[in-house]
Amino acid sequence: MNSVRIEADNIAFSYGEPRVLRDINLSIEACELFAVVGPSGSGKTTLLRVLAGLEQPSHGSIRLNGVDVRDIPVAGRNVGMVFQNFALWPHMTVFENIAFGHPSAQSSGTETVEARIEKLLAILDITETRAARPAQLSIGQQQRVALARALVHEPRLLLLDDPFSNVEQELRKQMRHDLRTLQRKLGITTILVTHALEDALSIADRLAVVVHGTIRQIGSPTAIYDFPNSIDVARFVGVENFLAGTLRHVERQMIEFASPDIGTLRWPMRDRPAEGPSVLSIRPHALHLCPIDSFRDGRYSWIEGDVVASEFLGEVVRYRIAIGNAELSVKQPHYLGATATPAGTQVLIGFDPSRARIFPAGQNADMSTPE
Amino acid sequence: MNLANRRSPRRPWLALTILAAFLLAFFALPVGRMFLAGFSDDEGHLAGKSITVFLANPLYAESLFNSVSAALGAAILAALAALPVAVVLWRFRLQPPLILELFGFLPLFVPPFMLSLSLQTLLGRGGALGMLLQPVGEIDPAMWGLPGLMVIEAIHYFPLVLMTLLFSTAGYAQQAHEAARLGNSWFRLVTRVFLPLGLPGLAFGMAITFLKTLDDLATPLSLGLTNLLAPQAYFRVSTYGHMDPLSSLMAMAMIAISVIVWAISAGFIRHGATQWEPPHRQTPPSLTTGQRRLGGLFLVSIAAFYALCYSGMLLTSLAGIWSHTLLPESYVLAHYASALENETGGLINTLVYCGLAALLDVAIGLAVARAIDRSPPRWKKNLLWGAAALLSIPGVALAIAYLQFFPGMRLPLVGTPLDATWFLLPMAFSVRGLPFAIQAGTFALRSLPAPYLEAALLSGASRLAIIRRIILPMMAFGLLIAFLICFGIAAVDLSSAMLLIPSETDAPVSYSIYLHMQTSTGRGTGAALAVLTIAVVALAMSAFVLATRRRAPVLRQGERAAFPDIPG
Amino acid sequence: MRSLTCLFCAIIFAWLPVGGEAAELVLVASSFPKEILSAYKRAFDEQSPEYRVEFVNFPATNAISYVRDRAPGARPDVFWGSSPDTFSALKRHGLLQALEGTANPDIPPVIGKLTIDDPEHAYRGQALSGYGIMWNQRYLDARGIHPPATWSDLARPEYFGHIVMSSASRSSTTHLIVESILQGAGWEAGWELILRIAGNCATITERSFDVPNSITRGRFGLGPVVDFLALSGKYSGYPVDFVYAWPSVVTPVGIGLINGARNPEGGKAFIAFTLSAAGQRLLLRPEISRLPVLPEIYESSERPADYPDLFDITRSYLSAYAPDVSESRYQMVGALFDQTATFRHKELVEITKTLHALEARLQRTPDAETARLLDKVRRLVYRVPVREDDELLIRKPRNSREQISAIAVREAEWARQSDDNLTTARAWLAQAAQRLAPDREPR
Repeated sequence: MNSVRIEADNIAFSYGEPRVLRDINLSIEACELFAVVGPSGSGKTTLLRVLAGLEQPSHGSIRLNGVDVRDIPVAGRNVGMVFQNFALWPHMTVFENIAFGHPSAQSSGTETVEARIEKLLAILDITETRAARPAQLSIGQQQRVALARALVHEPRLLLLDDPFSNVEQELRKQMRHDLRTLQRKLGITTILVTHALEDALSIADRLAVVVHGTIRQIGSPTAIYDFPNSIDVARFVGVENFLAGTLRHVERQMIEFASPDIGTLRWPMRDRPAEGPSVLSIRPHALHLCPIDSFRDGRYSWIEGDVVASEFLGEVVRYRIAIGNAELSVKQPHYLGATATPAGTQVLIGFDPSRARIFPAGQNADMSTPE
Repeated sequence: MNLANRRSPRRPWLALTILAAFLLAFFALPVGRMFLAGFSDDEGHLAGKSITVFLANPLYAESLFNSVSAALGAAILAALAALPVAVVLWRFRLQPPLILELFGFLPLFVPPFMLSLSLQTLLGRGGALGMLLQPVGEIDPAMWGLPGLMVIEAIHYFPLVLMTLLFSTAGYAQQAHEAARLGNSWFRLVTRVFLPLGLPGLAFGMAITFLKTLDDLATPLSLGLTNLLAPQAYFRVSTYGHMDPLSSLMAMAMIAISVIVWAISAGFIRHGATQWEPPHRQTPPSLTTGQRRLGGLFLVSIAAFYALCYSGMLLTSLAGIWSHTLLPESYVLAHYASALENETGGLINTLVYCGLAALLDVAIGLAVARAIDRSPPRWKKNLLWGAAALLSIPGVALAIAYLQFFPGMRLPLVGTPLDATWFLLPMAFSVRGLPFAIQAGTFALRSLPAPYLEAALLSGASRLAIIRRIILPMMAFGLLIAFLICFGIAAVDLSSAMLLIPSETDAPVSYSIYLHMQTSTGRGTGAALAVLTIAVVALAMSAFVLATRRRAPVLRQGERAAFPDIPG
Repeated sequence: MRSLTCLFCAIIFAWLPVGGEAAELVLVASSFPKEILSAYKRAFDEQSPEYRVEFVNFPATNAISYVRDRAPGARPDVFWGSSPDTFSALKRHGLLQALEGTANPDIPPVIGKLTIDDPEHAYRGQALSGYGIMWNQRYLDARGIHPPATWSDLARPEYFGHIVMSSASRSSTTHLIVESILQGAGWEAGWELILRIAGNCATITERSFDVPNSITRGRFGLGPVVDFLALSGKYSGYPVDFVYAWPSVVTPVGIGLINGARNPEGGKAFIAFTLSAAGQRLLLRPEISRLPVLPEIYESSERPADYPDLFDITRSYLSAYAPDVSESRYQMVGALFDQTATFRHKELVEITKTLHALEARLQRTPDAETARLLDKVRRLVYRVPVREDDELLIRKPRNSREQISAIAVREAEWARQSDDNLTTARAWLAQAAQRLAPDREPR
């Protein structure tokens, strides 16, 4: 299948006054599995629909292999799409669902089309459901039928609208693994929209984080996970601790972060952010929790605090630690037989400044620590 | 869930233009013209003279008062009867079977004058109870004056009020029962939970009762009541012709009253009740046998009351000679034979143009429902309310507006003047049916959520194939229901039919029944026809129930997809 | 959206066949009940397959406004009805066209004192209608009442609450009876009688057929009707009977071709059929029971034994009846009836009941002053608000908005006047009741 390269230039979209999308610039390479992630209501589904041609952007242009899509009718764009709830036609069998819309399949079905459907059914391991109605299928089977329906036209572009929502954890892992394998096998440009970061991180080549209708960051899963470029993105990729303070450049390569809650900390940093009011962010598992009287290792900066609460999550224990007026969330690995540190205990928190990220304050109005 | 989708630039405009043209030609312009006619003299200058005359005649003031009080009385009586019944059903978590729930909508498909004629047969001096009780007193409803009309309309619309009341409360009966078990008193639950929950349904049911009673022409006439707005307007139009400015004024007064009442009840309804959705049927509560028997008895006694009310009609349809005896002297089936033999032509005509009105309604209803679905949320509610406000155009008023607007206009191609054909009738019916059609259209649309259509569009299939294989099969059920609702409403719309029909054979069944029932020899035939009509409606409803049961799994599937819980 | 377009096409196409159907439509406007119409429809459609007859049914009182409101070419083809006034009006408005070649030579032009056909052939007599009082024998027997013989009998107290009558504006039968009473007894006295009868009525029905209907059922005891409705009930086996009451009126049932008919040839064919022996014989059917104008039908074996005789009835005809007078005030007599009787029926009944009760007491305890009071009440309540020479009654009604407004103004005056009169009457009745039984509260 010949895949397609997509470029979106400066796309904006609105249903009325509040803009749903603005300033969208994207370039997706052929054969890439590209994920669009973002919190609910961020406009990611709309972006997908615009790319599918189901919505006309109010501004900007989309090019498929360099050709403006406005010149191609919806049906001729050769786009396969899997909808959020799969949208399988309930009154048709699996085979009819897949074969619908294929001109030669409508009239008794020529060998090639039929053969291709059979092959797809086989690849997706749903051959036995061929004559069943969608209502009789499991969620996993429904997803695969929807996928088969999207793929039967040998599309140049496959669009997936949150196909794993409403699917339980185990099945979900299996489904996304299958999807990734299939996508590799077929070598088809794929755009996956999801609100679940894990899905995107696990299978996407690259992903875009969409917040409030704009793309905040595009990059590989690790790049986005490790180096979010804004508070919004950081929050979306699971950073929980945000501390307000003031940043000062002290000497060469050194910065000083002063916060009323944690005092003044200094550490070296090569690309120093601008001075002034700032927000320091750090993941819960980048913090180390030690008894108050532990040896203070020089690689970490140490802060004293009190345990407020603890949650046992299985692999880890999450603590809420009060430091001054702020609270920090700390995740510690759980070891066999260890009990959680009780609330009220004075503890020492050590953190590795290199794993902290500093953003200029005021980038996001909402500064409070997420609960 | 996204509101707007599949935006193709040209087609909506075409549809909107056709829709606007239809509403303009068959609603806005005639009503506007009637408005002018009420306030202008022969030269077309604005003049308030007719208003002065209208106000000067105590008869019209009386009619106005009578109309409002009869409609209000009927609505209040129906509500007073429905409230305790609904409370009992709620208290004991009795769920009437689906078929009984549907029969709650029977009032919309059977004209109330049938009840009036049936009761007159039963309670009049000529036979049955009325004759039996003659020495004690007069119980013929035609002798009661205005209260007779109120009682008959209240009995007729009681099931509708009860159903709307149940719909808005039934979903919480289980919770209430649990709350009661936890120690809350039933009195408290009824006043603090049932009443506030039921208010929208009650307001809707009462508003419908009020509007339909205000608009009713055949029932007051069958009772010999003339001093009401609708009969007065009807009398004036038939005596003085459509030029009469006073009948325009009466029509406008009726519209004004309807709009005010609708606005007041809209304040109570606010949300939900217009959606016409039965509550999600929860698993039937575990009732003791005694409770179930009691509940059954309760429902059966209500059903028996209605059977008794309509038994006059049934008896008449089977009676040979029945004159001043307790029961008919002989029973014959000849009336049914004659109804089937002589009325088939009329029935077919009725099917044709009620069908036409219903088709038109379904098409417009779908288009409007789609437009509403695609409009921004803050418009959505206003549009829905605007459409529902069409409910408040009385049939008599619309018919008078048509009579003034269309004379002299000719049908394209054939050249026959519009008002000499039955053409106006389906148009009036479809305007009257629109509020229901829009709701039904919303329901039909819901069975085809946008992604299902988009998936088809992306599949590369031709438009025709999409319509034939996706749109029609998925919406068939919803469309059928919409069609049936609009058809039923058209077939009983006697108020506009009595003024608009050009020839008796073109009349809806209900008008034939009305005519027949007033001749001494055709009476049996009319009653037979009425019984047949009720039987057909009942059959259609039962078939609907069966179809729903059979389709239930598929419907649920569609419904789940229609309301995704995670917005994108 | 395509479906919508298709639908509109479907609507347009659904219309096309109307113009080019195999059997040509003959549209007959009539005030007759369905049994007559469907019997004639079946017979005529069978005899002339090239035509298909359809009926428009409405009270003859609305015929003129109905026909005139429609443009030529859109009008019904034939008008068929019992009211000579309507034909007179239709003719004067130029809404009828001359009939040629439809006459049956066996129908005599004059029967008794009655001219059957219009001298200018604008319409023909198709049957005869006589007017009188119908009653339910069982109903009267159960209450020990004897049947009346004249119109004025209907005003007697024993009939109070047992009479059913239709409105003169809605029923041409009632209108004709009202007009014949007015012409026979004089304007003022006639109205007094009419209003006293109306006060005796249990109800005033909207359709004239409801009068014989409720009498055959025994819902009410008696009422003024046209002969065939009573006879058809009688010959269908109901315990009803009928008398031609004095001053009786017999009128020819007319049938005429409307000017501006869509299908004049078909209309003529239908007229000719109704006048033929086959068409005349249909009249003898029990459910129709009308008086044919073709004398040979009376000789036929199908005629029931006590069926009225053509020449007996025409002999008693009140020759003073003037259709032109009736026609000139047609609309207004109907409007007056509605304003004074239909719309004020409740009040009229209440006062009539009190009057009857007081009269009965007065007979037991005579009192000149009370008699005078009751007389005053009667004159006040049973008085028509218009003099016979009022311009409204003389001027031919025109259909301009101005004219209707003018009438409406007068109606408003009458309504106010009658409200005042009723208040005064109630006060006088209270006085009278006090005089007769000072110890008892007046009813």
